[in-house]
Amino acid sequence: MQKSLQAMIDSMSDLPSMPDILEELFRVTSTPSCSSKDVARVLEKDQGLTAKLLRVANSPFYGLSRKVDTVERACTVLGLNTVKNMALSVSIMDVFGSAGGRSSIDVAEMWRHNLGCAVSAKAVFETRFKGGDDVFVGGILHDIGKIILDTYMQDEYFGVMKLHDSGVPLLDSEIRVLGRTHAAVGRILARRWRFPEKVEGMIAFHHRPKETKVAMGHVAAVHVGNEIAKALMLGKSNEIYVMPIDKTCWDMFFKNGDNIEGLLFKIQEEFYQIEDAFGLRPKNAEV
Amino acid sequence: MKEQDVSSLVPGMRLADDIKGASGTIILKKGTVLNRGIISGLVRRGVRSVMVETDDGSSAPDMDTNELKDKILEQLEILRPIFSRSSDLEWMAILMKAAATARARRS
Repeated sequence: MQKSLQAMIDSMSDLPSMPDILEELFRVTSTPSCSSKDVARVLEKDQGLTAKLLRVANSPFYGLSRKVDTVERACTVLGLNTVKNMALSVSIMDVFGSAGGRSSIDVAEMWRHNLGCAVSAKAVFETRFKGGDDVFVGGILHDIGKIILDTYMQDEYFGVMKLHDSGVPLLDSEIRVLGRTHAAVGRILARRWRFPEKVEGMIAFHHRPKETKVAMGHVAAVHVGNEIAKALMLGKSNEIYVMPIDKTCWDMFFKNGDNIEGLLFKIQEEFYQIEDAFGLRPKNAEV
Repeated sequence: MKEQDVSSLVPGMRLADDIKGASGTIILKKGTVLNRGIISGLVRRGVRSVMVETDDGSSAPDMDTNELKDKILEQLEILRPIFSRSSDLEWMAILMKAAATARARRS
């Protein structure tokens, strides 16, 4: 029997709370006078997070000509918003990366897919707009609902995957078994953790981009990037199929017959450059 | 020698001219044989096209092209089943072919 949304939220009462460091980071960066020093002071309280952040900042993906060795320097060179988004991505991967005893999804491959979506969505977005860093975070977090379901509702999600394995598309399987999709579940976390509105929009509407009322370009980019990551087989979403991309979203970025092959090649190269920095390269992968 | 879009470079091609950075310093010398890392570096730097050798046989472009075509066909076979729910749409068929080509260039 399907659980009501409230019952579902209740059963997730042991969802981790937002890490204090992110809470503080959001607070500090929301003040207009926020400086690189302020951000560094918050983030450097967590040495593990700082080390991971610097590894990502120094990866070839960001193409820095000189290595940065402090958070403050990373903020100066890459910009506060980039570092803030990087901290959000790394921190959430830490919280959910090793939780639960999973049966229905390969969580490491799922995070590789999320990273593939992030790289794809950012590249797609930047063909038309500036400031793809917010889209990158949206890509990292777009499927967080799947990871939550697999961690906190394992039996039910096992049923979803069983139905999907029989050939039913994933979203249909989720609706039939749970009565709602991973996107709706991801939104619960987004609200509980008070994610920025754009990020909540990308999580909630990446499969229904026409329904969003906020950040339409961002949502469209994650919608397109999600399918590109699957097409390039960057990690594994637990959806077997590359599903149809909404034509309006496709036209938003590729209407003029732009060099799609070139863009996909660039995305693929960028993904393989950054997966190491996020500690996601499979151990048996070719170097 | 011909001008080649960076997105269509394949490992093994040889540069027919020096590549210079914004300040005019040479970042890659004429004669450099491209590998994956070098091609990624060019993509990252935002280089759009480079001059590559074509007619002295050293980069064997014809062989590369034929090999690439075979690899694209291989990749299309891999992708077709996962595109079974979408490839009847014109734009999704374009995506499938582009993905097959990108994957073939890396394989």
